[in-house]
Formats: sequence, C-alpha cells, structure tokens
Amino acid sequence: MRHADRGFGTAPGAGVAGPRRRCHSPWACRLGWILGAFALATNASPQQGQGQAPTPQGAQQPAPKATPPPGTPAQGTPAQAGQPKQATVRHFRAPDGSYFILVSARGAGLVDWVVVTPAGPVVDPPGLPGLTQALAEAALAGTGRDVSRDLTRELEALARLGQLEVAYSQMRAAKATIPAEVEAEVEAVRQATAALSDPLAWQRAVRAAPAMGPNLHHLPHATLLHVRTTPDALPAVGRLLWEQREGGMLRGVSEAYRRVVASLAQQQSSAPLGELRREILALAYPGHPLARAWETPAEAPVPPDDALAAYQRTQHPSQSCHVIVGDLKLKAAVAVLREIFATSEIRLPPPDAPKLPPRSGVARESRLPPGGAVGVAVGYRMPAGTAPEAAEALARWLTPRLRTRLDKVGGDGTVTAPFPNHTADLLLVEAWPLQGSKSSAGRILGAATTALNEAANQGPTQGEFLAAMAATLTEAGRDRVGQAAFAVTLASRCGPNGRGFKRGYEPQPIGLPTLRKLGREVLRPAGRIVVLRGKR
Amino acid sequence: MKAGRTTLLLMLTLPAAGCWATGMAIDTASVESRPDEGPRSGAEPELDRAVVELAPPLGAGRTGATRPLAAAGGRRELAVPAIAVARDLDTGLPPPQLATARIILAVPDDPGAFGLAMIAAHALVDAAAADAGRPPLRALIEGVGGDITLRVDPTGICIDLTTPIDRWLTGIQALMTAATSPPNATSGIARVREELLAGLRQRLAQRDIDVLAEVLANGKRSADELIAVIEDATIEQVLAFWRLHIGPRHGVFAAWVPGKARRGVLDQIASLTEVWSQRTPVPRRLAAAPPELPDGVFWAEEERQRCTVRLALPMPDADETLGVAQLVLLEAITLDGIGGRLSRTLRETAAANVAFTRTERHSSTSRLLELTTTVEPDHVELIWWAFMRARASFLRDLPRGPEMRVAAGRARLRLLTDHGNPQQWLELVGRQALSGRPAADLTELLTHLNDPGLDLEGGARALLERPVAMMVHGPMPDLAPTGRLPVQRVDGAFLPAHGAAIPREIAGQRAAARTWAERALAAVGGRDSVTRVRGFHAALRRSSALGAAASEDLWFHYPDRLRRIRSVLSSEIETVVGPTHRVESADGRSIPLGAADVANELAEPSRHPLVLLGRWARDELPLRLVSIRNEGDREVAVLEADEEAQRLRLSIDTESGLVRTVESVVWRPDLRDLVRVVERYEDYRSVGRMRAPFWRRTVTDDGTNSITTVWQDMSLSTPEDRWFAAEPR
Repeated sequence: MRHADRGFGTAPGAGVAGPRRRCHSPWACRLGWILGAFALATNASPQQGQGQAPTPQGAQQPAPKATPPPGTPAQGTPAQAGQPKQATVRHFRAPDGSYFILVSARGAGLVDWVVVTPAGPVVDPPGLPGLTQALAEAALAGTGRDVSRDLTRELEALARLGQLEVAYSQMRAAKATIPAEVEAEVEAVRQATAALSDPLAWQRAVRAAPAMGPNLHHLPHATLLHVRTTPDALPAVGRLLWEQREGGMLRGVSEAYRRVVASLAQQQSSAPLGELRREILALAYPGHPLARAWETPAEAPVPPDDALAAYQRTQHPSQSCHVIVGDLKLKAAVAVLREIFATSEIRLPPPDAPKLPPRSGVARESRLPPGGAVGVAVGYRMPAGTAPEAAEALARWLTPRLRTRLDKVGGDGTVTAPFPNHTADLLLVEAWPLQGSKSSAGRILGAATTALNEAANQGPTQGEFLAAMAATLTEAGRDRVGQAAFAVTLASRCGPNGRGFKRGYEPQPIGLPTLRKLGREVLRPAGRIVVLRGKR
Repeated sequence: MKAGRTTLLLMLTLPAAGCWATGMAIDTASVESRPDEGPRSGAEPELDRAVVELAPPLGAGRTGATRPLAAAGGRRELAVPAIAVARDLDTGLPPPQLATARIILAVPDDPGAFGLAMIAAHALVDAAAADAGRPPLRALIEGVGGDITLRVDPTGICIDLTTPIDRWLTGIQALMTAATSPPNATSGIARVREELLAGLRQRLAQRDIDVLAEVLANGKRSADELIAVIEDATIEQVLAFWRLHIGPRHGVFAAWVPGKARRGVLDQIASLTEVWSQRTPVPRRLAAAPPELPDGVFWAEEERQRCTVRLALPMPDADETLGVAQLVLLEAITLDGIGGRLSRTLRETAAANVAFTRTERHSSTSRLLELTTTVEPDHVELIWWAFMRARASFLRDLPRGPEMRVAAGRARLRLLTDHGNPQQWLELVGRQALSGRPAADLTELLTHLNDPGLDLEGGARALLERPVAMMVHGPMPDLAPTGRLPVQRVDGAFLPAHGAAIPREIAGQRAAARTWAERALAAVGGRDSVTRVRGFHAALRRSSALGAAASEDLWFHYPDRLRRIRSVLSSEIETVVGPTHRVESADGRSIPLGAADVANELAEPSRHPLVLLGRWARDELPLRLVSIRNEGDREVAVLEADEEAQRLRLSIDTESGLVRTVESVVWRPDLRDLVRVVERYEDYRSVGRMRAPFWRRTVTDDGTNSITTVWQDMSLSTPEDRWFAAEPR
C-alpha cells in the first residue's frame, strides 16, 4: 500500500482518483471545491501508511531533491526557491502510534503545529463534566523532567495535596464546619508543592524555541493545542510537546477544573432552554455519554488518580493527531518526527469508543414542569454518516423557515445541527415565545411543526438553497484565511486520532436535490423527540 | 504562476506628497485621471489615480523588490487615490474561496470627528436609504452569503466585507452605493445613533479591564467621555461628515480576491471607484494622529479578592525608525508574557511567578501591546516597577548571547506572522498608508534583524520614550510609603456602571439639569408664573419656501385640548381636539381625526418652551443634563427629558437662560416614519408678566424642509382660564 502525496486545490474533486466530477450547480461546485481541499489522500488510511516510506505521485509532486539529513528540516526563509508550487500532504503513524498529517505549504517561513486530543462528554469521567478541558490547561504547567526541583518530593506533595483537596471539598459539600487546622494544612501543602517546581518553565522553553503559543482551543469533542514556530525550531518544539505528553504533572488541576466549571456553568446559563436541551439529549442518546453533554457541572473534587487516568487516556499516542502545516521539507520532517515520537510510556489503554444508539422509529415526547423558560425543543436523529457540512446546510435552510412561521404566532426559534457536537447526529429545533407574547408552548410547537412539515414536503427553493450554501461557503472559507486558521480548521475536522481524516472529507457536492432528500429523510414524524415546557 | 492562483491586494489612496517625492512607479495608463469636483486649497497636491505595484508579503511568486508606497516624513494628507497591487499571497494552500474588501477611511483631526465617524459608519452599514430604495448594506451583504464587520477608532473607520469569491464585485458595489446614498430620513441615523448609544452603554457597564483599556486606547479618560462623543453629535453634523469624509479619497481601499486575474480585478475596482470619486469632494483635512496613551497607573477600585492588571504600550511596526530594534527588545522583556526580563525581575524582586496573557489592540494607525494577568493586590506595584526596571535595564545591559538569539528569533517569528497572514498584513498595510510610511520589504527587515550592527542602544532609548499605561481593576492596598507610584484612582466617574448605577448616575444628571432649568424659569418670568402655564392662545403666521403662507388662530391647553383655525389662501380649516370631540372641518365638511393625527396635532404646541418649562416646574417632566455645548457664538446647556416616549431635548442659553432650541423625534402619520424635528426659538417678548418667543424656525429631517413661524399676538392660559373649560364647539 502506498502513501499518497497530493496537491491541494487542483479542481473540484481534488484528491479523488479518476476524472473530474461535474457539478450542475455552481454553488455545489464551489462547496465541493472547498471540501475537496480536505480530501487528503483518502485512498490510504492512517493505518495503511504506518511505517512506510512516502512515495510522491502525480503531476503535483515536488521535484526530486537531495534529501537533507535527519533532523534538518527546511530553513525558515520565506519564498524558498524550488519549493513545490502547491501544498503537498503526507500522513503517517509514528513508531509510538501518534498520527501525523503534514502539509507542506510554501512561502510563509512559518510552521503551525496543532495537536488534537479527545475531550468532551465521551471521554469525561461521569460526574466530572469538563475534566478533560481542565486537564489540557493543567498540562501546560509543565512536565516533571526539567521543571521539578525535586521530582520525588513533588510527586508525593501533589498526591497529598490531591487527597487533602478531595477531603476539603467533601467537607464543604456536606456543609460541615471545616477545622482551621485543615484549612491551614491545605494551604501549607499547596505552598510547599508550588515551591518544588517552576510551573511556567515549560512554557518559557516553548517561547524560547522560538514559538508562539501554546494556545488551547476547546471544541465540544476535542482539544486543540496550537503552536506556531519556524521550520528551524521544529525539532525543539517536537521534543517539548513529547515531554509534555509523557510527563504531564497536572499541577493545579483543581484550580483549572474550578475555572472550567465556572465557565461551563456560565455558558449553560446563557442558554435559556438549557433544561430542554438536557432532556432531549437524554431521550436521544439513552445510556450514551452524549446524554450528559449538557449536564450542569458542579464544583466537585478531582481525585488525583482519576485525573491522571483521564489524562493518560486522552494523551495516549493512539488517541492523538498532529496536524503540521507550513514550510516543511517533508522527508526531513518525517524523519525528525519519527525520531522524536518513537516511544511512549503511557500504558493505559484508550477506552472503546461507545457507539451511538440506533435511531428509533418511535416518536417520544416529554413535558417539563413549569417554572423555567417556556419553550419547545424538537430533535431528529439524522441518518448515519451524514456529513457535518450537510447537517449545517440543513440547519441553515430550516432556520429562516422556522422563524418566519413562528413570527406569526409571536415566537422565535433556531435550528442547530449537528448537536451537541460533530460526533453526534441530532438536529435540534428550539422555539420559544417572544417576550410579551401570549402564545403557549403548544401553539409554538404547532407553528414549528407546521414549518418543519412544510419544509419536508416542499423542499428548499432555489433561493433558500443558494442562501444556505452561500452562508456555509463563507463560514468554511473564513475558517481558512491564513495558514494558522487552516491548520486549526483542518485539525478540528480530522479530530482526535485523525479519524475525520481517515474517513476523508470527500468532495460531497450538496446539490438542491440532496438537501431536499436529506430534509425529507430527517424530518419524519416517526422518530421525532419533543420536549416542551409551558407556563404555570 | 497560474493566473487562477493569483491573489490580489489592491489599495486605493496613498499619501500624495510621498508618492511624488520617492519617484514611486506609477502606472496611470489603465485609468485616466479626471478633473476634481470638490473645492481644493492651493496647497493641495495634484490629484491623480495611480496604479502601484507592491511586492507580495511573502511567497515564491514574488518578483522584484518592494516599491515604497510613499515617503516617510509624517505628512498625513490623503489625496491621491491609487491602486496598489500585491501579486501574491499564495502559500499553496487551498484558497478560502472568499474575497475580502477592506476600506479604511481616515477620520480627520477635528474635535468631535470621532463621534461623527462612529455614527456615520454605523449608519452606512445598518441604515437603509428609504428614498433611494436601498436596504441596509449589512442585509445586502448577508443576502449574498457574506458578512460585514466594522471598527471605528479616533483615526479611522475600518470596514471589512467578506463575500463568496464570485460575489466580490457585488459586495464592493453595494458598499459604494451605500456610501453615495446616505439615509435621507434622519430618523434612520437617529435610530442608529440611539442603538449605538444603548450598545455602548451596555458594553461599558461591564466593569472589567477591557472597558478601561478601550477608554484609554481611544484617548479618553472616562467612559462618560466616550459616550459623550456620540451624544454630542447632531444629525446635521453626521450628514455633513458623511458628505465630506465618506469617500474613496480619504483612506485606503484594499481587496483580497484570491483566484482572480489581477488586471481584471484592478480595472473593475478602478472603474467603480472612479464613479464614486466623482461624487465625493476632495479631502481638505488632515488624518487624525493616533490618540496618545496616557502614562501611569489607572486603578479602578472594586471589592474583589485579586486584581486584574494590564500593561499597555504602543507597539512599533518593524518599518518605523528603530522599529526592528524595539521589537527585539520588547521580545526580550516580555517573551510573549511568560519569561523574559519582566518575569525574571519579578521573580528576583517579589519571588512571584507571574504569567501574562499577551494581546494586541489594533487601530487604523497604531497598535498597542497588552499584557494581562491576575495577581494579589500586593503584587500590583511590584509589576509596575519590575516593568520599568526591565525596560531601563537595556541602557546598561543590552541583550547578548542566548538572550539575543531568543529575542531575535521571536522578533523574526513576529515579523513573519505580521506579513504572512492576510488579515494581519492588511492591518499593517493600512497602518503604513494612513501613517504616511513607505511599505517595507520583509526581506530587508529580516536582513536588518540579523545585522550585527542593529542599533539596540537607540532602540532602548526609543522604547524608554514610549508611554506605558498600567490598568488595574481590584482592591487597592496601602501603597509603598515612598508614594512614587504614578497612580490615578479611577472612580465611578471613570467606569460608570450604566447597569446597576443608572439611578445614581441619572440622579446626578438631574441635579445638574436643575441649575439650568431654574435659570430658564427665571429668564421667562419666574417659577411661580411658569408653574401655572397650561397653554396659550396665539395668532401666528407660518411660511415656508415650499408652500403658501398660512395664518392661524391657535388655542392650546396641555395636554389634550386644541382648537386651530388655519387660513390658507381663501380656505379656512378648523381643527378641534378635545376629550370627546376630534374633528377637522373645511367648507362645511367635517372628517373625524384618528388617534395618530390627534397625537401629531398636539405634539407641536406641547413642545412650546413655556409649556415644557411649566411641566418641569410641576415635576411632570424629569430633565437631565446631557452636556454643555458651544453652538456658534452661544454656549448652551442641553437637557433631555427622561421619560418621554420619543427623544426630547431642550437647549438653554447659558448666558440668557432662554430656551433656544427644542429637538424631538416624532412619528409623522402622513410620512409613516419617525422624523427628527428641531425648533429654534428667537425674539423673546413680554407676554403679561412673562416672556415668550415670537419667532421660530422648524427644521425637519436633514434640513430640506423648514418652516418659519412668527407670532403676532399671544396670551398664556392658566388653570383658572375658562376658555377651554367647556368643550370647544
């Protein structure tokens, strides 16, 4: 099996073997063109590429050049002569199991490196929503190798501090009177632990590499760690990232978790129909972690062992994907990365990815007791394998229809898909009466149902289709203006373990008939889930 | 390079004097120059359109050296519309299928221009021109699947249009159409103004460090000042500003259109801007200089456990004098917020391991470096001194060896980022053009960075001259007894909480209004007399340039009784409004009046100064002081009614105490629109024991309609007057 090095941006259908596809709709063509950008070597899976030398192919491959010695990546000067005209892509799995996607772009003299690790409800331990997000932040406080002044003592102190914090939190939760000596001990151990390390040392080393960042991007299903550097500094940054993964000490994880909990609580409180969302997820994904995705976080103690176990699961090489975009000499870069990411001491096996429960053909309805915001949430499970872009286009088409109909009864609404994140397959419709409106939840539901049924029966008009596609196109394009944004977007689409990349973002031109068909298939009354809450 | 992969960057308008001075290559063949229509001073340079080829920021497709845009030298006139083309921004990555057009319009260095620019820019984007049948620009752009963003600062208006690649021309055309058809109905601008004020008040109500930073970065000392720049702007001023300053000759026009042939895009933009240029006058004013950041510590006290601290200082561009050296030194100090001399000094002096978050705040002509952290209150003073020491340490100890390598490496990274990202590059080009600096060549800058003779010493001195503002939000501890910290307390006046503290705020404004309202009462006859005024009987004559003059006999009793007999030519129309009788009759025929018509008829006499003052004196009309303004040769106190459904403002002459103008926004049922009405009162004469105006000019909308009213006779009504006690016939 061969690796694939492919050029970007050749035409609609880039990356797909065979003749160019013809699109009848200009918008579909354009969207296909964009999606084509992500069709990266789709004929070879990450597993297939493991351990094999890359073999450039096709007309866009770079001209043969002398291979630089390992550890000598491209020099970071802009506008290197002789570099490939269009970006080429190589993907491989390093000896330790980490998955790499390298995109060699020309001209910028910069390299953007994004590490994707899993996060969110699927990997958060039950009862600790947002923990993986907190772990990613705590992991920036450095490794044990160079940062700790006395590693043995610090490990002991961290364990002791973790136990004390758990006990302290339990006492606070039980509203027990906390003895002054306990508070004093917690503070003393905290200070002693802090004195044993320099938690900013790792970040200083990254900056001195030189590199900009690290910046964390928290997505609903993944965490992205983004570092921008020069080609010369690629090996240094690689070693620092490896060290961070292997020796993350999770200093200050409790503080980080408190911050995350506060942030999530604020985010949820800003969604007035949060309780309806929670209920609809419970009905849509019974027994699946996604059912907890809108769970209200509480300030819970973080047992050190649980934190470490969750960290190792998310950081296990088989769970991570590295997307590197920029001025790269691919051969040299691959050699360097293979050398750095050769081994791992993380032994904890990654959890099995839970499968989504099958779509049900039975309609379900739930009425929440009055007391909160009045509104309606309607959910539809989409067919398996619906591309996120198609789901987004569907939501964009339906939203104006819904709002027009709701406006007549003094309401407003919105459609979101996929919800709650890209690993899910739920189309969520939310509708509520406007302030001062006398419409009941039932009336709002009636209007929303009418709008959705009409949409399913009629399909999108040409104008609606064009508007939905244009918005999709603009948003997709905006995410890719500049190399850094491109790297982050590509990484977010590939997801942890590069699964999205493995699946391949095949050019999937979404034509009007496709959207109409998807709408008809999704908006069936049979599998619909309704949650509503009325007035007192 | 394939034509299809070419990326374009087009710029319009460059400092003219600089262009000629440097002998910049100018290609005028593609676009003919055209006589200018607007007024021009003798000192202004000859106007022309130029096509200037710029080197690309980066990329293998670059050919040739960068040609400067304009000479350095600080001239800020913006006169020559020119189109500069960057050949390539292509890195080989798939282009985003989006076109970005950016217009940066210079804001002149005039008092009040910032507020006018804010309102005009928001009206440009969000207001429709009903007369021209134009919907809001934002709706047009969103209709083609694009979006539009707006940023206004005291030096420029920056508008970004993002559209799908094949709609790029539609987006630019829409922008130009909007720019050449300002909303005629001032109600449109008035609405935008009110929304802008409401939004600004809401944002400034958040008591956080960002608000403080925004206020200081805009050259203001309080949120009130920032709000006042909008409050003080009148609609006429906004329209005048629009006519003079929303035009292609006042700034930079740039478009990034990936995948289109350069020449084609160039020609299309040139022809579009040609039309636009013909409709806008020649600029005569200077672009504003960026507001100076105040030096010192600004402490907004609040009961919290910890303090949020933000250090801010102007950040040089690499192509400024000693810019590269200063960038290297800044990296050596901050190392992106973690590390560097600042962290080292803090660790040495306070044993504090402080991490800062680094951000940049951009304006049209400058940018600020901001370092933010949260610390214990006791550490705040240490941060200030640590930064000062770290900065001053360069005078005796310049970076060498590993420190220099790290700082230079980071400066290089920063330079590459500034030039390699399309958005940041557009920011950079805008700053260069508006500041009158030549475009810099990245290769030269990188070479300069590695030059052993880099003047770090000069850079250190230049860095020391830059102002540094430290903003603090949190509790203030007892400061060091030396008292050397240049701290200014920022109290409620600095950060007025427009949310929770509105009652207190308004209470203060109402107290301030009392002074002026009392003076107005004294000027027209005293509180006792005015309190009793409920209405009037007047014989008056109205005239306007558009219609026949009319004579009127008018009886009015606030709030809901009116009788008017109007004579126009040979016709007589009688209007009667009472609690049960609302009718208009002429020539023996009567028609009943609807509620909107009645409200409209009652609105005008209700705005008579004596009626308004009488209501205030009886505590029926709360007034608050908005500002003290200079209008022509008069200083007036502007009072606003708090509880009126529509805006109502009185301007009281601070010298004489007389009400000079009454400004309101009213619903006109005949126009089915909100209309702004300004009534100017003059010729106060004695009416019994009081004084009343005998001359009024009423200006509606943008000044196109005006009516002059001259009173011939007048008597005032009191509660005891009987002529309205009975229902009028």
